[in-house]
Amino acid sequence: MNSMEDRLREAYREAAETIQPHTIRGLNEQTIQISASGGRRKLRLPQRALIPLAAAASVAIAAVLAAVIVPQALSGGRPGKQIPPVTSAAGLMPRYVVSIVSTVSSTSLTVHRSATGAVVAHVKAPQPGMLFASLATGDGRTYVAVLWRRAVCRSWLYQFTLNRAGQPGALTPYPLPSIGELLGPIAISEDNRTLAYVGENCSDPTGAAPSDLAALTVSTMRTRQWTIPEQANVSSLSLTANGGLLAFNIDTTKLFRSAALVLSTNAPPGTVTERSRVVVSAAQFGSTDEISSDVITPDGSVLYFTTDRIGSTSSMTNWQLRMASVATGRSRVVDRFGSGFPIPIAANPAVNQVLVLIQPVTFRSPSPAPSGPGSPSPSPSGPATAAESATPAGRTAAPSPSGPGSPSPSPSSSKPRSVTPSPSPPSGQPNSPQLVRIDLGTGAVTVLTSQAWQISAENSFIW
Amino acid sequence: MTDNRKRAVTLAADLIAASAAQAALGPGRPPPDPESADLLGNLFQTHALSLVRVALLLVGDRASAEDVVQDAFLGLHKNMSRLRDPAKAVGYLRASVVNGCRSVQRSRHRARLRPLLAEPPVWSAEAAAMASEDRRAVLTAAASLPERAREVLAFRYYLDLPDHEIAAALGISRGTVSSTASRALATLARELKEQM
Repeated sequence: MNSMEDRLREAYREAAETIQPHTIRGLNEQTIQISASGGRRKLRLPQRALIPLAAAASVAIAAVLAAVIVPQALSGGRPGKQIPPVTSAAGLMPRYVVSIVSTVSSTSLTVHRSATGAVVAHVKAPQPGMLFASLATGDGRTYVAVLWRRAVCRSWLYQFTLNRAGQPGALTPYPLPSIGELLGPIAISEDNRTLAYVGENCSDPTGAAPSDLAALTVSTMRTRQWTIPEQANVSSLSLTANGGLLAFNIDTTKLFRSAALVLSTNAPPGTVTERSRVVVSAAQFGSTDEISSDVITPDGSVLYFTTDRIGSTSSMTNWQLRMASVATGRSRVVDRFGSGFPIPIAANPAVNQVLVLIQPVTFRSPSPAPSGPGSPSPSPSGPATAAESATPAGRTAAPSPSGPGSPSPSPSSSKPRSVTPSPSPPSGQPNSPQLVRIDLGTGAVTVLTSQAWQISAENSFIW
Repeated sequence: MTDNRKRAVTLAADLIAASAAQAALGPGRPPPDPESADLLGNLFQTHALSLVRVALLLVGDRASAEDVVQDAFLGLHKNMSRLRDPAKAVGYLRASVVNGCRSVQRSRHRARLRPLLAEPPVWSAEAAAMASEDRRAVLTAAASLPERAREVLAFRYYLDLPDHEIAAALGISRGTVSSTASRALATLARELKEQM
């Protein structure tokens, strides 16, 4: 047991023991409440709640974590009209990746060089007390950030650009400078003309107002909104190149099985479930599978998504990167991965590379896992796993027969192209997350070094 | 008779009274079932304290924690006739407490713009309930974690529940429990180190 666990146990025990057995209210007080309220619960104590600052910070940080930030798929098919993205020499991926770095008291943005992870710049919130909640880019050059203030039901939108050296320009207010909601994940189209977001209507004191999914046409400032059903959680927003099609994920909750859906940004108002179309549902992969994140390609033809298994034993955890035809929903496995759970994927604007933060599993009581074709690696150090690269080094799997440029999904293959990133980093930190970059065209997987990338499960990487 | 035993007897009597009151309220309700009252009494005796305490760790103040647990037992009482497997009652209560705590937090979240009387969390210096500064710092840092992380940590390190029971109580996968705990511990360690 490490010292943090010890300290936590001790702290919990001391706090808990401030309540002694003889001091808690008995159920007889409920009898009075039942009688007095005519059978309806409940006669609550006077509300004495006040969210402390620390709790407010937790809300912000929770949303940063919950905000499944997937930069949308964008193509570079409009020469002459677009500002070229800040790409690497090969032109395959942007030179820089921006991450949201969260601490209890503040958030900031860090600009990393894509090739090495080296930090080249930091971006601080435009005003004291503002927290970065989510971030997106449409072209790999212009970034739009959502910021919150503690204890304020409003979100502010700012934008900045990166120059070729990765240095950010000034944060300037977005054309829609603020919204009276708490925004979660956002997505921007390549031409920066469409902004999609998930907003929570927190200003309603009754809490009755639902959350919504919205698409803003920047040139007209017209917003279309679709209501998100209660207890549904929408994440992983991504837009096609022209902003016409919005892809998103409905997460697994008590009332919903997860699914990847698409919605026309011209759809009339209604509920998300009414106006959207399911491309792939977790149910088609297994009774306990879930779709955890997805991203659509610039042309809207293919959806890449990750699946994992809910309730699997710790030694059997594995996840898959899959692709599906948006038109037909037919899907196949791109790659299977060993131990760990994928924290939502972040694709580069062209959607030919993805970054995946993998959270290793804590092995409390390892047990044998099945082996054989298609099975996950039997243990974190099993033969199918690879040691983490000391420096970024590609581990190449068999190339995908259908690269992102010409996707033609076929039914799931029973023989995975198994590429298993290391589930256990060196240096005795079994629970440290890993960041891997996957080339969707070649299948090459690069395990990125944690030191250079400052990898933390609390950080979100936006490409 | 020990104090605890006296209390258990009192609680069982309270539960029967509560059942009678509940039954008297609505036409068509089934009469109180002594076995159900016994079960509830036993559950209350066995689990109420730990549930109130874990609710305290999640919501911060005692009054809200007790409200949440009372509501959980009331909910169980109302749904007793549909509870086919008594062994699942504890799981029901845990899930109810988690949901109740979430509701409390959401109501605070939504009400945070309104001036309200504040009851500081038990780990705050103002509450003066905890002597150890280090433990207060640990819980203050834990309080700023995401909701799910707080729940997972409290269930794992206060109630010492195995991951599959935590998963059942929170409605998430076992792997999510594990990964959430790992992340939360790492965050806490980092934050506390930074504060030093």
